Amino acid sequence: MKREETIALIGNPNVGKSTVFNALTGMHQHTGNWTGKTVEVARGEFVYNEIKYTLVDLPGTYSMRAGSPEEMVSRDYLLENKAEKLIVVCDACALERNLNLFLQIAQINKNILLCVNLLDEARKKGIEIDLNKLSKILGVVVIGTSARKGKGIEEIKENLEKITPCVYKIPFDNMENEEERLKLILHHAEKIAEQVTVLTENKAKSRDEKIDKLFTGKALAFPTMLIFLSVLLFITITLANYPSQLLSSMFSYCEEKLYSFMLSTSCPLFICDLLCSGVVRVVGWIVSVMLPPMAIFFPLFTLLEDWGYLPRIAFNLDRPFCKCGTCGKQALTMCMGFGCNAVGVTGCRIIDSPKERKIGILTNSLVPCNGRFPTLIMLISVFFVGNGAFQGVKSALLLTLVLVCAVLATFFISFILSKALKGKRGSFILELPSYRTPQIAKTLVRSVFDRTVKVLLRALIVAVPAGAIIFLLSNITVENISLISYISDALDPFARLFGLDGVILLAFILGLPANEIVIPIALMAYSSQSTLTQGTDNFAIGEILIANNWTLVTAVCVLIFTLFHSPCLTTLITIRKETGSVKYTLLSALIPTFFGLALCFLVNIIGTFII
Amino acid sequence: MIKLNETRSNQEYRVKGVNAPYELKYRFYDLGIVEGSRIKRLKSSPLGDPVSYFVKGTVLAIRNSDALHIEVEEI
Repeated sequence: MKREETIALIGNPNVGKSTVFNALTGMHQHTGNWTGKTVEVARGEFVYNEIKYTLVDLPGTYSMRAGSPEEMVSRDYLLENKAEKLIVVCDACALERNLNLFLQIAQINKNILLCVNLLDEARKKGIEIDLNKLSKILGVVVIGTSARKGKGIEEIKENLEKITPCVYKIPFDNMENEEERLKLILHHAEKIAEQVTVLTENKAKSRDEKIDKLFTGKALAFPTMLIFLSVLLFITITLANYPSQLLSSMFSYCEEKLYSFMLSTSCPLFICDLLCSGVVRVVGWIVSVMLPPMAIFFPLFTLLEDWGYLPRIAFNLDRPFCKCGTCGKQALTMCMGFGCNAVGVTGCRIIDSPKERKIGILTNSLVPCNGRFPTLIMLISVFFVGNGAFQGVKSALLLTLVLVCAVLATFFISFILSKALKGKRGSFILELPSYRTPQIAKTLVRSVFDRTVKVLLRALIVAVPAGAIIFLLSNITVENISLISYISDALDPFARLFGLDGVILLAFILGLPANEIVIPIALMAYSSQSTLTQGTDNFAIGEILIANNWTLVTAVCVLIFTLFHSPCLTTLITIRKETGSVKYTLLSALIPTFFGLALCFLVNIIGTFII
Repeated sequence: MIKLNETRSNQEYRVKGVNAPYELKYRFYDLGIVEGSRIKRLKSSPLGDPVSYFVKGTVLAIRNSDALHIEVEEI
């Protein structure tokens, strides 16, 4: 290796910067993004010509001026001089606006390579860019790419050693006024873009407009949103069954084999039980019941995002969010929350107004993350759908309804918070990028792989100790009553007020590190009290629950509490980091919990009254 | 001269002035909305606000209460 270099990748949002990043680094990156949007700095490495390059993918930014916190990350990174070289990624379809950012960055005296991406898309829109001329005007290396097809990526690598600072200087002539400077840069960007762009007939724009008519039209916008959501959920519910059953039988087989093997090694019986009925069983539950729906829902959702649908949701929902005192960008962070609340919280950086950002953060965990989906699916299919015909369709529709309720709760709490918190109202300006054919195979492989590995790791880190603790709690007895019974009995009267029981409440408390383990913990606690045959498909779980006096009211209350309770530990830590305030971290835990408990209390009273 | 939120769909306009508070004005500049830019109104969102516009090769959604800071003239 001759030497090491750091290169920062910067550009406007939606210019395919992350695609360029992925194409350059392959799979060698340290932080995979949950959603397509880069909200944190991602790093990757590649070696070319015996030089080891570290590539830093900065969040998309429109300007080097201090704007939103998300843009500050990029700006600060560049100004702190951390990278030796810069690659500025531009969208060939909107060269003028992208050059505006390039010219601002070029004022910092650094080696820059200009990558004009999305050439294929531009060609479809009837836009041709004269790259040679652009390179001559600016005096920097300009490479044209179509990163999705991998075109131009090798050329970038070949030219990395040749790049120089930008020769083109804007004659500011002691201009002090910032506004005048910004305008001058804009003027120069316009001039340059004019000289290198050749326009022919535009075919693709009308296609985008047609799709938008369907997805953002008066009559169809909201129905299509609901249809998309229920179809996604239907696919998830139906497909998840198969791997679930397979994994479940695999785990019970392993548990059995391990148990008999350990017995044969004259290992103490207590250790055998601890490992098999404690650790292995909880891990088995998590992997077989929780993992498949996550591994299916998430990539599907990523496809919708890659396609460009999510900004349209923000466009459609800005009005109601505006009425609640926030903005449509919260719809985006809410959608990220469906994947993972911690990511949703970080995503709130895209919201410009500090007040609205706080509301976005505080309300994010009101929508269920991927870790809570399987619990919701299980409750719905066992208690509300049953074993009849059209099981999948019914479950999907009910789950859609539940999610709509979660969104309504987000509106409601946002409204209250917007009255309670001080601060100015923000504006709402959002780019609606062109629809782009998602890279189906790549996305699926990548997110199934990423997701699966992540969840498995989390299962191991959290479930292993949790399984052991629960096992110990339920097997260490004082006067023939297990510790877990003492604790859950103590919690029981309180929990009963809200239609829950001591075990469930305890499970939620112990499940704070990760929501995935709430149901497994509850099952474990129940089954240590009763002697039930173990099964891990939804209906076997249902039997255990019903045998422990679950009624329809219990199911509804658990459903509500699953939706609205304190966010998991990871999310809380993220909130602490993003807000820098203990007060807001506490609020973000207390608000949903109180809201959930209040609803459960009401449902319990009404439920008992009716029954 | 009219304000951007009072424009007609599928009609092109030229920006005559951006009179917003600094933070918002600079955001408009970042997105290519400055004196002299061409801007075309596309369509309203299903509930009427915000509205999408075509500016410098991109589609932007702008809320009416923000768009009223932009003065335009029909081309």
